[in-house]
Amino acid sequence: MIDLLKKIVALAGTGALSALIIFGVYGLCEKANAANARLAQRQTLSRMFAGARISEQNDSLNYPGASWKIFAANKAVIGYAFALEALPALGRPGGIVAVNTAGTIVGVHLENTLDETLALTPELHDFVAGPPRPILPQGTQNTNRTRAPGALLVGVSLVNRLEIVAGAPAAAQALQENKIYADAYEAPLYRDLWEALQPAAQAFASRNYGSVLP
Amino acid sequence: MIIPEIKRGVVRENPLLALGLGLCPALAVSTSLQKGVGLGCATMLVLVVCNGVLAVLKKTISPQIRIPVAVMVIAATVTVVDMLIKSFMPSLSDSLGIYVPLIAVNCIVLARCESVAFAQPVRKALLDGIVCGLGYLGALMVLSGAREILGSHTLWGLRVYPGASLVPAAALPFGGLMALAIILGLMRRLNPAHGGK
Repeated sequence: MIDLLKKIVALAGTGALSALIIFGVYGLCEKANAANARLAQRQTLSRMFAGARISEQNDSLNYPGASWKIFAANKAVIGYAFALEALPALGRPGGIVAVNTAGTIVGVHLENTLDETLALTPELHDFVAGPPRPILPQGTQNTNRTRAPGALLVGVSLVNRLEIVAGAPAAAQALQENKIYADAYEAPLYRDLWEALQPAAQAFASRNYGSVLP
Repeated sequence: MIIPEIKRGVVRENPLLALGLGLCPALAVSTSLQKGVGLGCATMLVLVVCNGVLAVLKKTISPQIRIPVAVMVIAATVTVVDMLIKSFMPSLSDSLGIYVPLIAVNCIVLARCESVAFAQPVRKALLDGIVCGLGYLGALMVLSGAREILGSHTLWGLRVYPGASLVPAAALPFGGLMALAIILGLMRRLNPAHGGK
């Protein structure tokens, strides 16, 4: 009986010690994992921005867009930092909202915490503050009602709706068909968010605060 | 004492080329030298730690629960190694995939624990872990280096010759088996201890 007890204790002791060591190492690895996740996100964004830049030359856009629901970029986008003050007020931990000079939301990215959003802003800053990027082919007529002066939509990805509209011609086509903003507006999440954010976006634009344009 | 031991682990009792242990992960990950070195180093680390820990514990462990304790120690060590690789070398972890956790069921580890860690003093068990690990690492380096050069015309990711691959099939599973067979044949031809002439 005592012999059996000894064996059980030896097995349980080995198991407990193993578990203890594993938990210790887990704690050690957690910081590195968080840093890896941030790095992966930055790389995704960098690839996406690189894709957008390539599109200027190739007239086609091919970025992953997996976590970007709506993305717009142009020289008039002034307010990505706006998300840092507006989204937390709405109870969202973080995200990025691009606002153009007319106060229209032209891009929304919600899947970040506030810390992650802050970590991503250097890339956004570099991208937005870069040289003007004429994305749509010259001569493209854009009759979309929600398109504010200077705003050029380069890609759209909506949850379960439009996977992505890749390429300037595709974006132009979608804009001409008045499709992108309509779809975006019909998605409940975006409609609510849009409406909640719009006044703040306009106020933000009128203050001309946070402009990153040269 | 160390040189003959190294010779034993690397040549005479090489886990992969002489004993035929750890063949499955070796064939699966030996498509590039980087992956081969990664798996070889991970296996060596597990071997050394498990041999050391079990050699220390052997006097306190009843023979009847020897195997369960060994399995627990191996599993815990592999888990720790896997977590460390995932956190600090994520790209290597991605490329090795399931084959790092599978070190836990690698016959080399259990075989060395059974035959050496439970029978030899701590120093000898540690040395055995190192030389066997070196043997496995060396065999993986030869196999994966040859496959990468022939199948992908690169070595450690760097292009070694221009043009198309010499033997594209070397990068396929069939190529792995053929490369291993050729290396085994050469070993036997050159080394009488492996049945050569």
